[in-house]
Amino acid sequence: MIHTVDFSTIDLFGRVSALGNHHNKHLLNIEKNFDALVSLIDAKHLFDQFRLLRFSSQPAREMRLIQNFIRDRETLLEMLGCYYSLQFLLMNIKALDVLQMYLSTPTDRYDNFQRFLMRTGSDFRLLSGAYMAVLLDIFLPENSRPDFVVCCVGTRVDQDDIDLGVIDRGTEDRPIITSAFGQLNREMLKNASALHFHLSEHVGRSGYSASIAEYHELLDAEIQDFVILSEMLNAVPILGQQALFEQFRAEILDRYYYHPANDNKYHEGCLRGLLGEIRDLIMKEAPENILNPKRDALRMLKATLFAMKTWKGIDRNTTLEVLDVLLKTDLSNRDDYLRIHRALTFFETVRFLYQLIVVQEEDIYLEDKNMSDHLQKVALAMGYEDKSYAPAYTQLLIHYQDLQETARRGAERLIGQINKHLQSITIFNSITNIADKSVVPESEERINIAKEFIRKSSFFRGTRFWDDVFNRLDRDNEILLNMFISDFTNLPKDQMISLIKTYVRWGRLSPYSLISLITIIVKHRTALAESKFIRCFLDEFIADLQSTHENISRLCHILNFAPRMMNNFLALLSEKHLEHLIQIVDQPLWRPDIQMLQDNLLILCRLYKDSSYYFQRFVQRVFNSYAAYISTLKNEPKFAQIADGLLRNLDNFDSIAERIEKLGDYYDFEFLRLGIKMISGGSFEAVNQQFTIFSDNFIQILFDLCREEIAKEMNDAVLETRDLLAVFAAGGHARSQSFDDDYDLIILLNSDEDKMLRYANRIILKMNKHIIRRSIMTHYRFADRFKNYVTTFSNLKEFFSKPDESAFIDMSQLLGARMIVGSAHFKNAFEKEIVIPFIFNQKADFINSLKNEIYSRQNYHLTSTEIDIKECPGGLRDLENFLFILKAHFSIVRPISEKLFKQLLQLLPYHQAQIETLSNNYFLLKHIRDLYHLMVSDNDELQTDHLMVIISPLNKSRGLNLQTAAQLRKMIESLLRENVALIAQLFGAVESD
Amino acid sequence: MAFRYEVRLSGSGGQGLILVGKVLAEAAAIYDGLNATQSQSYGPEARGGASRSEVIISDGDIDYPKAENIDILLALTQEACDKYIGDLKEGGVLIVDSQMVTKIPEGNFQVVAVPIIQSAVERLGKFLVSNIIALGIIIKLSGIVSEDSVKHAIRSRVPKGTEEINIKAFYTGIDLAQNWLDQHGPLKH
Repeated sequence: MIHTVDFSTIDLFGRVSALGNHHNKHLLNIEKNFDALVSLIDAKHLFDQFRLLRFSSQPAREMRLIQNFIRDRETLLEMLGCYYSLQFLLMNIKALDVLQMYLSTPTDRYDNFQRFLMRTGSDFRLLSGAYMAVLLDIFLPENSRPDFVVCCVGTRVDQDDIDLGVIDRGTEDRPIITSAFGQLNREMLKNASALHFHLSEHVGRSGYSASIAEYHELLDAEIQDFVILSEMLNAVPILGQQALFEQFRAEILDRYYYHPANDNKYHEGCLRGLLGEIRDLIMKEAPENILNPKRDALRMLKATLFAMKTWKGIDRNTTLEVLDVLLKTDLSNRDDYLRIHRALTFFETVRFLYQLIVVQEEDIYLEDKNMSDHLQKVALAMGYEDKSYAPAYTQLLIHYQDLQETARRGAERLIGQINKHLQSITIFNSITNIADKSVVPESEERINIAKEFIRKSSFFRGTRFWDDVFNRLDRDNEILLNMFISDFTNLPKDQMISLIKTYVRWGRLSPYSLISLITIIVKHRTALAESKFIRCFLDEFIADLQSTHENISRLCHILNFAPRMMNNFLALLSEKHLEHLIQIVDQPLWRPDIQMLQDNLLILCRLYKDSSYYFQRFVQRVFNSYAAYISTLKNEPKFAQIADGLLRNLDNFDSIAERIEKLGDYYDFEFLRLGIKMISGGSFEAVNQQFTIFSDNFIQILFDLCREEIAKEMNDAVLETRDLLAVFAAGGHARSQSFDDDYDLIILLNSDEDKMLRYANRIILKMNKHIIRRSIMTHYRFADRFKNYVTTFSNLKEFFSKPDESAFIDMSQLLGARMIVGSAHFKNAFEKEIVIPFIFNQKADFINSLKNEIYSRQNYHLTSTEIDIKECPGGLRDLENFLFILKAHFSIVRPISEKLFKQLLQLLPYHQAQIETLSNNYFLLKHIRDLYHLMVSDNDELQTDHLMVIISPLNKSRGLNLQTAAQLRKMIESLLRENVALIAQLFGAVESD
Repeated sequence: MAFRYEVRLSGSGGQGLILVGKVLAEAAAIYDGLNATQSQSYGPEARGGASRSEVIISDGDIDYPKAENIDILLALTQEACDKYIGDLKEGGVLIVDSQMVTKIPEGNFQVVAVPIIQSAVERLGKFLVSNIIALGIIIKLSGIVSEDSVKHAIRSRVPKGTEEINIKAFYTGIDLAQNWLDQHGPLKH
């Protein structure tokens, strides 16, 4: 009887066509060889011995049967390959069917995923192990076989490749093993899964295997690459001599486990490697358009469990088996293990099914046009169903995000515990404990701990986790830190530089550690920021940084993970450092996962580089308090929303002190936001308008809060101040001028009661304290003259009744002031009792005084070659004084603003062109001044050398085409000359009016 | 005597170089009947964003899986180029993306600089297929594996629905290489 196998009964081809294209090679194999295989089996009357329509539970036995009856080697290899291919397809079909069956039961979804993964992993190992065993019998017959053991070192369920480690005795007959594995490798690539030999590529000299002696040679002196350790510790012997593996375990593997009371430096190295990997993974911001289960969760979870395995001495191989033990034995962390279980089984299943159904790749590109179809298949296979509210794949994606968070939460506390364990066993305790000794006897020479750290850390080369050691430096008592610093700074200069260079080389693979070290030092010793020691550290570190993709990624990830630390680090860098860093980072990467981070890092670097010290203070302060918002640097509307949120959130704080503190943060945040907008070439008018709104908000709310606080101090004996007390902004703030480094205030009280004056003074005193804390200098007009923060109407009346020669300046301040706090009633009283009688009604004297002032200033500055944009002829002061003259002349109360210019246009209809030019010039000069303050210095004397930096935002905002600093200087000079001429012309017009 | 041809594909993670390695190895081993091994970076370097894949092709046994005498080095980043150039054999071929690798190291090797990523974006509207364009260039310049075999291997390695764009990318690579050969003349083998 000739047997046939009818695959249509199980719809083999139909089922396989729904899987990924990589199954094609198996179909090709079957198409090519299956009929021949069946004929051969049939010819030997062995048909009943084979299972060809269901996954075989004894693939090794069936392959050996094939091996027994085919003599021709080439045919044998083809038939074995064909058999493997068939069983591989049947195995995967079985896996999918069994998963559906599991998921239809009422048991926990994640338990079902676990059963599925373990079952499928066992089946795959059964099949691939059998295939490799039979092939090795062919390529390396028993009688010529040297001692060796083959270990699986990868994830059991992973079908994309099989990671192997081959251990031999390093004898002269190794070439036999090498040759056999070469042939095995070829057959596996053709018919099964590619083999990868990471261990033997790194351990030993050549070939596919390495001896225990070679492992000793590589790993005894240094911890090396932790991926080697992970693979080794994952090793499960599948073929060869178990005894050899036991020897390997005893001599090599065992030392990476924790042994109380013994030397644990190998275990420590293993933990440093794993924690470094976990930290690196946590640092990364997952791109929103690419899923990658390995990157998004699996590596972190596996590394965490692996660390627990070596700490607790768990003798299990797969991650799920280790987790099972921990769930049963470490009950205090059970909730975290349950979280990890959910995440681990979910992500492992998503990855497995995606690779089975779609493609054997790690990245899942969500923007791909076919991706929703592909993910839908994965979701359905995982038991999701389309619902009216969302299709299956959408539910899968939502769970994906949720479980990413679950994974992180599950791992976080365990990582903390592993870190503590590391602190308790580290060999660095011998250094850090020096600080705990009360006094080191003078006779005893203390070791140089800065040098000793480097010496000891050489064993751990390749690992990147040093947080535990640096946390000791970061302690409040600073003893260790002081010792560490002095061990650098007490060295002769050349030795100090040499040691710094050693540290920089040490930190090449982990700039995080170096940045962390530098910022810890400066955090505790602010004065060192400008010291030779730190300058030299920064010089060497920045000079050593290469513009490589890895370095750019690392820096971007540090910004993502530790934005505050990165912000504080950038604040330490000089303009030259920042320029170099920008050159390094500003390279095309084609990496969507770090594009956004790269942009933010560049913006932050440029912000520091292109800012005056004055503005840098705001940048540093805001991002020190609100570092997470660095991620919104590119998103100005979002930044504005956050500022609004800070303002609206004030009422949610219970204490006034907290509200005041947060109000200050709001001020800084808005100052920063608008500063960035301005130096990015934003609209001058819009920035000024918004600046006025927030700075007024700040003063108004601060006034209210301070009044409330004083009322509390006075046991709520509140005095009614509404129509009696007012706060006026004078100077630049009155004219809605942004980014002034000081705040001119006039506090007016329309009452002569002592009690009221004392009360008002207390409020303003408190306000002043809080404003100064924001590094804003406050000036109280009249405070010196009347010896009070608060000036009463009576004070003013008395003074203006007998004015001295400088009274016109005080008058102009009052005339230019803008009320921020106070009632309409107060404003009317102020105008009626002060402005009209003492300024408008005596305007001739006032105007004359101002006119004289303008001319005398022009004469005074005549010979100056420097441009003081405020004080020089035609500068802002002249323009403002001239505008006060016009205001007094026409009895206008309105502060200087665009509206004032519009009003003047109507009042001087024959001089519209001059007024318009004056207006344009005024706002352009103010714009230049603002940019100069933000980007160069808060000085009004413009240095031509530094004008270049403000050209770009000025061009962008005003549609100009300035190319050089000289051109800008020329333009400013021309504006100033024009202003002098215009003022002279308009004086004439006003006088003849 | 059996030939041994070593190809190293290097760049950064996300550039799809592991896939190119698999395709090349399978094209050689499954469809062209040659012997091939493929390995990929596993160490911390792979986890730091770098990516490396190696393919060794031979008509005999391959007894050592590590490439050390590279015939073709593909470098899609400057860093990869600087790091791996030392393993390129004398007279070997360095293929670089002309935008990503701007500083070509000096040495006794032939340099083929082609705008790979830019071509992927401009000609096919998809950055993701730049890896397959690079594969096309390698195949055209080396002739180590037949174009048909590579096409089969591509179809068997990419997700359903993306086969055609990947085949187009492959031919884009062949075109780019042909243009380069037209301008610079044949490579010395």
